[in-house]
Amino acid sequence: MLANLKAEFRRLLTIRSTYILMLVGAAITFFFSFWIEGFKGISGSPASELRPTAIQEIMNNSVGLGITFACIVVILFMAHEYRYNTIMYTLTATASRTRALLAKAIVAAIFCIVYGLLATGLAIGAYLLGVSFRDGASLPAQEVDILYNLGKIAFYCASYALVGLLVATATRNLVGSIALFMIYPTTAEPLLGLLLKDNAKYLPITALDSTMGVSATTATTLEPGKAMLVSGLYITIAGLITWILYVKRDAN
Amino acid sequence: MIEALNLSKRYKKKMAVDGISFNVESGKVTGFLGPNGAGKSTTMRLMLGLDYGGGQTTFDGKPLYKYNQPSQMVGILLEAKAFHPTRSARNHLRILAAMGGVPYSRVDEVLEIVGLTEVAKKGPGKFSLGMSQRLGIAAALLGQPKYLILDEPANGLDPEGIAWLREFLKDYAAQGNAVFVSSHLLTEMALMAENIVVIGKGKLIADTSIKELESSKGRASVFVRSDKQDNIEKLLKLNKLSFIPENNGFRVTGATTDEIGKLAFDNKLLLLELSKQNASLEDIFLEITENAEEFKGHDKETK
Repeated sequence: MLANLKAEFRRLLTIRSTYILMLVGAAITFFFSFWIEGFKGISGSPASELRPTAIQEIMNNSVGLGITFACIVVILFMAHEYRYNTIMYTLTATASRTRALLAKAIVAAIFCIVYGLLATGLAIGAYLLGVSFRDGASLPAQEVDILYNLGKIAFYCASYALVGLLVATATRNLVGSIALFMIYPTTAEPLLGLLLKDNAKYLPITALDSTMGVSATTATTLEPGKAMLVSGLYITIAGLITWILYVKRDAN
Repeated sequence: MIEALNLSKRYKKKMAVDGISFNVESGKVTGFLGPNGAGKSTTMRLMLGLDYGGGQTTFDGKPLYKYNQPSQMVGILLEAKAFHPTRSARNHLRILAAMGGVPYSRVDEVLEIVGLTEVAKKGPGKFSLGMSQRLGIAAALLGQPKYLILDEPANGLDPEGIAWLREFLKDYAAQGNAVFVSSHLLTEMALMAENIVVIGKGKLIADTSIKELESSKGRASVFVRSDKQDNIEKLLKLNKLSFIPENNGFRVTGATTDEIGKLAFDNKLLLLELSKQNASLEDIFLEITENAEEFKGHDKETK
């Protein structure tokens, strides 16, 4: 397993697109937190209002931005295996396909957690910098439960990593998986939300976003604990299906 | 030894590989031949467990997945361009080395062997087909495997590269390893392989040594030339031997040089030339796969 993890980390970190997407994600996170939330302040945005929960809000909002790019990195990481047929090396160099997939999932999750935490740190720093440039503004003492929030971020990022990995593994198509990843949460799920009304909170991405207190649909969000449970269930089921596909299908 | 037993694979209604069994012996290069669409690549994928189908392949008595480090048992090259185009050749190999538990120092060794040291830091996306093949061969050699399974490794190589590959694979096999290599370069195969496995339309056509195939009765012919060609022709007809005129003589099939020599002597004919003509591997291949071609070209354009 250690050999697989080492190989997968190298696979992820020896590709230019990983760094480009990380930089783009970081730049957008910085711009959003520094300029829009910190310096300018959008009326109606809780973080902009310089409330005691402002940092908390920044943490909730910014991680979603960063994780989108990290998730695309994960999709590329997996889909490139099929696009460039390196999957045949992966599957013939490893005695167990389960082990190969597990190594990829662990690496993807670790990457997204680390990137999510770094993006959150960057967002907080950028926000504080932005506020310091705002005329006469001062941030009140903040109420933030650091450990609780770090735990939520870690769960959220790992879940998105798995979403990306599962989509790419199941579709085995780079364009298809990126399209699905972009279209489903932004278009399909909000439309489904209109049909399901209040039950829309149980939709997969809505539930997952609820762990961070944000939502793609207009539904009332689930409590973070419940949201973790619901989204965890979705990921487990999707993970099982993908695992069966990975193990039982021809290599590519 | 590699033992492939009853390999089969069906794609919807089409049987791509139909109950193929053969052995690949250690210490030898075994060629794998077949017309386009015969099922060569599918057979190789079945052997490696990349595709699922019927039958089993064992490597020294065990399926590949039973080995802890399969890449140290079998080196593969199934596709020349199986790499990310912008990841450097060295990093590509380092990933495979890490996966197979091979030290990174081996990466530079194999790059040296295949002659890609100078471009190790470059992304292989702009490599020529020949260079890509060399990178694929380097990947196959990483784990110093006992078996090599190579699908058309000579494709795109220049003549010097083909000669290098031929000698390299022969040397590799001579060290007690087994090399199973498919190719459509029949002359190359004749120079490189000792045994061949021929398939057509998913079925096994031949599994034998090249020498045996070339000299098997019915495929070898005899060239005979005399000062009295008309008499020879009459003699051959009288003895119901099939022949075709060639180079001021006749190419005769279905008889040995001894038999024709004796016939001529008995009939008091002077022979100027009498020699055994082995059929080329290409002739044999075309003959034995005549009815097994999936895709055939036609001499005339059809309208």
